[in-house]
Amino acid sequence: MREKNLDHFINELAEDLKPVKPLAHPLIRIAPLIVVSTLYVGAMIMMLGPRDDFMPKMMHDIDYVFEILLSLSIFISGTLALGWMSIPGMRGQAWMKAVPVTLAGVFALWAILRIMFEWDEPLVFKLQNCSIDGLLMTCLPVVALVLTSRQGATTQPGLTSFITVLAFSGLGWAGLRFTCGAGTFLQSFVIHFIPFVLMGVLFGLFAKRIFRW
Amino acid sequence: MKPSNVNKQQPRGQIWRDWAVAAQEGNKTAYSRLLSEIAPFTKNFLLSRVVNPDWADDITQEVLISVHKSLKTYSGDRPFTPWLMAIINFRKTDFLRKHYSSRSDKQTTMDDAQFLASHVTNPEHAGEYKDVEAALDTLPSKQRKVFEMMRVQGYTAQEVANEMNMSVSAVKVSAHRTANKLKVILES
Repeated sequence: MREKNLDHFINELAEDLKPVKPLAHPLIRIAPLIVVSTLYVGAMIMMLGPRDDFMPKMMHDIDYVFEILLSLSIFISGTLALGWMSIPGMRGQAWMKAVPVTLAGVFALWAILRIMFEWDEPLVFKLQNCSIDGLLMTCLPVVALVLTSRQGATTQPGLTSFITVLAFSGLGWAGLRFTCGAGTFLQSFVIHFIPFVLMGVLFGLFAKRIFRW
Repeated sequence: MKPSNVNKQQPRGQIWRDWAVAAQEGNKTAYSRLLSEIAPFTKNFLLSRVVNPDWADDITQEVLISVHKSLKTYSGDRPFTPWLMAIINFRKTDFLRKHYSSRSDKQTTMDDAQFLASHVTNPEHAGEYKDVEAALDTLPSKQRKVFEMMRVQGYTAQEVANEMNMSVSAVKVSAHRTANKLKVILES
């Protein structure tokens, strides 16, 4: 680029400048999204009806409670990380992206252990609409999350799409376990979570383009 | 702070932050000064990190466009330089990724019959390959490897330096000397 061209280019950009309102702090942009998504999922659970053994599970099944808390933590930490990731430099808080990824690693380990213990349990190949319920619960929050992220300008589109998929899966899994009466973790994971995995893969393929700017 | 009131003793990051905030309010003079200062800063940063100086110009232009597009994401309560560096690194990676992926699309294999017919067996080109190969054979193996990695395969000086356990400047000097040596051999 010749110096003259560069000066001309800078002048063009300066002429094109319009006043802009700086984006609000990521927490201010993301916190309402988390609250609204949680309320939306809560409303959907009420509408669809929680699983029959929901209360006993919450009261006595420590594994179930741990799993729900873990998946919700992935959703919340992933959503918060996405808020920061939509700002170049992440306001100096690069560690935030490690939280949902680490929690997802813990969840994967947990899933492997549960599947190993439940390997002999028979799988029931009937749909029970669990997957559809889960998708209904997550579709609107995910759209809202993507639109909020796109307000910013991420410098990590690949990682942003990956963490969006993690957050989406975390919320979907929690919703699935609230409403779906599938007996075992293996049943829920293999039969009902597969549509999520496929959607996640599809989203991952396109999300990088969605987050480009 | 208005750009005309800039205190010369202030660090550049502080001045850029003030100009960026002024630019967000629509101050074209501050914005023009900001871009005029970050352009050479960006180019200098890139020159030591990309093989081709023309690429540094192209990426600098991309960075200026990105700053223009994402100005609203800058927050005046944060330092300006890390925000800018994130954009520079993003655009540099993006540019190199595109460049290397398009380069591999253009690669061909010597097993390709059409390529062999049009280049190797074509008398107009056949000699060139033999001459270059012969000239490369005269080089010490380390020098040849540095040259091939940098000038044929398109790796950056930094990447070659890491691979060969050499300093970046030693890699650049080696590639430059090899190019001159090959020129002399091929012209003779």
